[in-house]
Parts: sequence; structure tokens; C-alpha cells
Amino acid sequence: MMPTRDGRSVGELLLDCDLTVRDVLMDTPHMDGRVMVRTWGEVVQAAADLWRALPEPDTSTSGSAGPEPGAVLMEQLQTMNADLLKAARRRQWPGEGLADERLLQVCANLTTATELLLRRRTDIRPMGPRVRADLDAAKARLMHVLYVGAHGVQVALNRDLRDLAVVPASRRAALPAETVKRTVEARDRMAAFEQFAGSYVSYTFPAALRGEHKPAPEPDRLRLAMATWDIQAHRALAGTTTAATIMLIAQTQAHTAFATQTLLRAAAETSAIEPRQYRTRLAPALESAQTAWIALARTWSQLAPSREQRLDPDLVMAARDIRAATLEVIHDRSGTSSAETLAATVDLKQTSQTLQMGLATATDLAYALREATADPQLLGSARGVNSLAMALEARGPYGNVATQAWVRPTDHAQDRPVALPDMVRESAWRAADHATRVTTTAAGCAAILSAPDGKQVAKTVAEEAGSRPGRDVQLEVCRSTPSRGLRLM
Amino acid sequence: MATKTTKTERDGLAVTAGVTLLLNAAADRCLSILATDPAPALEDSFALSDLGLGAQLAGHLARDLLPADVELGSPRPHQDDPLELVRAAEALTRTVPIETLPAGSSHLVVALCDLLREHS
Repeated sequence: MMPTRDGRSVGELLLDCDLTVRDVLMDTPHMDGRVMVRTWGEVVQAAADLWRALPEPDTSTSGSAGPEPGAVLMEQLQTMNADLLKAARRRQWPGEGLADERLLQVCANLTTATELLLRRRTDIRPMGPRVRADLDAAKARLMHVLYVGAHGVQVALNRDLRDLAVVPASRRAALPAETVKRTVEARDRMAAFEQFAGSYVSYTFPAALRGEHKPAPEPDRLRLAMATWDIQAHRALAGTTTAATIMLIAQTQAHTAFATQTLLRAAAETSAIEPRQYRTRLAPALESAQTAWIALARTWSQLAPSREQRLDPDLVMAARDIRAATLEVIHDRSGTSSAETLAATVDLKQTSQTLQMGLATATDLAYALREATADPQLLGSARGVNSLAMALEARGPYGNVATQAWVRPTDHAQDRPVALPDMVRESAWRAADHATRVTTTAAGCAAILSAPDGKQVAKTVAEEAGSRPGRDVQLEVCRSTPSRGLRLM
Repeated sequence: MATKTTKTERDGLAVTAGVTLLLNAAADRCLSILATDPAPALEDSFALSDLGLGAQLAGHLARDLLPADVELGSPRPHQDDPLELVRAAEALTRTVPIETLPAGSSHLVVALCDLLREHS
């Protein structure tokens, strides 16, 4: 469906409405039910307008001669709403006054969606199963908005009633006539409204959403997310860093490596990149990188103090963006998309080049992280440090022979942040060093993806490789990007 | 001016602390499964990695709702399945009225619901 001037489609506008009413529901204890009742009528009216603007399914294919049950239900809801509005206009309660800004935003979204449909609607083409499924999803989402919203208004009114019960008599006189009675009446009517809307929601939501049209991912989103992540992660490591920061960076890098392999495998299976090159060189290198980043994340997860200071919000936001961007491309509601689905929705050749850039920047990030590990001001959880030190010592030639505790008992009892003992720091450094080396290797192997056609060079290299013994060839191919000299602590 | 913490607010903080621990445990569990040898299949690995990162980020969101001096305690999860741990975290948020949870909890609840929806 055509996007609005702000770029959002009907589906996205509905999703925004759904999220907004959920937010409203969460915050209803702090909201004024009277304000919400004033605005609610408009929400229902806008929803009913949108429902009517939605194309009607072809009755010859739906197998039903009469009107759709959903349409009948929406009419009933609209009638209930009209009665409520009529009653409100006749009385002092809820009266004139402020409107709820978020519910007004829901109205605006619904109205925009209606305008969008009215401009586009032609009703001349037969409705295919996919369009029908998208339509069902839109209806389910719209009814869910009314269901959750009505519940929110009801919760707020209940809260008002509790507050009214304790209002002193002197203040009660200043309230509009019959405030309690009208609040009870509005609450009961909202409850009935909620039950009605719920009857539709209970058999459509969320199952109907599976048929919702999923717009193609923004082509630049993954690239932007990876670029932003690279900048924020470098910034977070630039000064004195924390164990939790390193942990989040390692975990996000591991996640990026999994996403990279999922997409490159699909690219290889659909011949967007050279399959043999991927299978024999790139896949093993990526697997090693995943394993190394996971191991690093586990180490720092153990060392991150439970009461550590807050993480940099920009770093957290960038990690969220990485997750959202990879999920948008790879996830297909029921799970990981098949190679065929990915090939149909994403330009895998272009994505492969984005991922290759991501691997190149991951190398530099790995070096930065390894350097951060050497920072003497980096602290770890007392309990984590103790257990890691004990485990490392036990693995040594003499077992647990240290006579002195690795951390002070009071620090251990309160799990305070403590300086890392040399043995722990060296172990963490070695893990970071390993991640650096395997990421560099993976980036070198991925260099073939930036070839102009993505295949020809890869094929040539693979053909050359085929004439030499396996291991030597692997090193040669993986050295296509010059490696950086390893720096010692 | 010093403010008093009421019993219901304390309940809300305790629930949020519990949610934080459960989410941290879920994230750690995902990493442990991903580190097993042999590793899970790639499709499962991506989903596990996504669940782990999602739990980690939601855990930070929960931690940020708590005052800095709140002691989280040690995690004592009763199960190994990371998705069940996230479910337990979401269920825990329902054990107290919404108004007792710290301000801003709606984002946490929505994040938990989204995470469960994406992985159920």
C-alpha cells in the first residue's frame, strides 16, 4: 500500500496505533479517565471510517453471501460509541477540557490511513490470497487497537473511581454533577465495548498477522546500522571502558557474525556469490569468528559486575539497531527465512558487499577491544574474578595451590568491582587476541565479495586454489587483505 | 527532599530486579548453548543469538529502571531454556499492579512482549 507523506504505509500506521495504545495502557494508572473518555469517541469514529475504507473481499471467493461478521461488529461498536458520545454531550461529565495527546495521535494515524486508502482504492481487480491475508491482518490489527484502547480507558476510569472514593466532601462539591455515577456508567459501557472488540480479537489476533504484508527491508538500513554500531563501539572503547561494555560489544559482534553467515550462505545457495568459495573458505572462517566472539562474550559476562554503572545509551541504541536491522532482513515471522525467501526480498549481492565492509570494520573493532582489555583501570565483578581465577588456576600445572584469596572476602560478599588479577587479565586478553586473529582471517576471506561482479574474481581465485593443496591455498586466499601486525600488551 | 519508598514501590523494585536477573540468565544461557560443541545449526544459532542479544538489551533496560544502589542478588533460575526464562520474566511483571513498577516500565513490558512474539 502507498506510503504517506511521512513515508509510512497503512500497515505501519496501524502498527504505530497498536504500539501507542499499548503504551497508553501501561500508563493508565497515571492518567485521567475523563480526559481519555473525551478523546475515545474520536478514536472509534476514525477506526470505523478506516474499516469502511478497506477494500471488501470478493463475496464470490469468500463463500459468504452476507456482510462480513467483522463489518457487522464494527457497526455495533460504532453504535455503542455514538450512544456514549450522545450521553456525554447531554451531561456535564466528562465536560469540555483537555484531550489525550496519544489517543489523538492514534486518531491522526487512522485518518491518514483512511485517506491513503480512499486515494488508492479502485476495487476493480480480483483480490488474491495474499492481498486477502494482508486485509485480514489489517482488520485484526485495527480491532486490536480498539480492544486494547478500550481496556486502557476502562482501567483509567476504575482508577478515577478509586480516587473519587477518597476525595474529601469539600472538594467533591466542586466536581461536575453526578461524577461518580457517570464514571461508573462510562466504565461499564467501556467494559461492554471491550468485550465486543475482544470477541473479534480472540479468534483473529495474532494469527491473522501472519498474513500481513511485510514491506521489503530498507536497502540501506543494515549498512547504516553497521556503520553506526562501528562508530559507537569505537567511542565506547576509546576512554576507560567497563566489563559490561565489552560484553555487549562482543555479544553484538557475535550476533553480527551469525547474521553475516546466514545471509552469505543464502547468497551462495542462490549463486549471488561463488558457492564453492563460500563453502570452502568463508564459512569455516566465519564459524571460527562466531565461536571466538561468543567465548569473549561469555568471559566478560562472567566479569561484568552486577551493579556496574549504566551503559552508554548510544551504544545500547546502536546494538538495538543492529538487532532490528538483521531481524528485519532474516526473520520471517515463523523463524529464519529460507534462502529463496531471502533472495526474493533482499539484493543478496549488494548485502554481501555490506557484510564484507562489516567484517573489515569488525577487525579494527577487535583490535580496539583487545587494547581496552589491557587498560589497568578496567574492573571486574569480585565474584566473577574469583571464580575465573580459580578455574584458570585449576587448569594450570599445579592446580589450586594459591594460599591467598583472589579477592577480598568483603568485596566477594558484596560483589564489588575489583581490579583484574594478572592471570585473569591475560586470559581475557588472549580471548580478545584470538577474536582479533580469526576476525582478520574472516575479513580477508570475505575480500572476494567486493569484486565488481562478486563472482568472477572469486571463481578465478577458487580455480587457482583448486590446483594447490588445501591448507596452503586457504592461507593464500585468506591473505587477500593485508593483515595488521599484532601488537603486544 | 528525601522521599520514602512505600511497600508497593518496594514490590515493584523487587520485581524489576527479578526481571533483570532472569533476562541476564536468559542471555547467558543463549551464549552457553551457542558455545557448545557441536554448535547448533546455523538457523538455530541465529535465532538463539537474537534471543540472547534481545534478552541482554531488555536486561539493561530493566537495570536502568532501578536505583543504582539496588542489590540484584545472585540469579537462581529454575530452568535452562532461555525462552522460558524470558517468559518467566514477562510473567513476573504481571505479579504486581502496573502502577507499582518503576516509571518507564511500559517500554520494558513491550520489549518483553516483542521478544516473546518474535521467538514463539
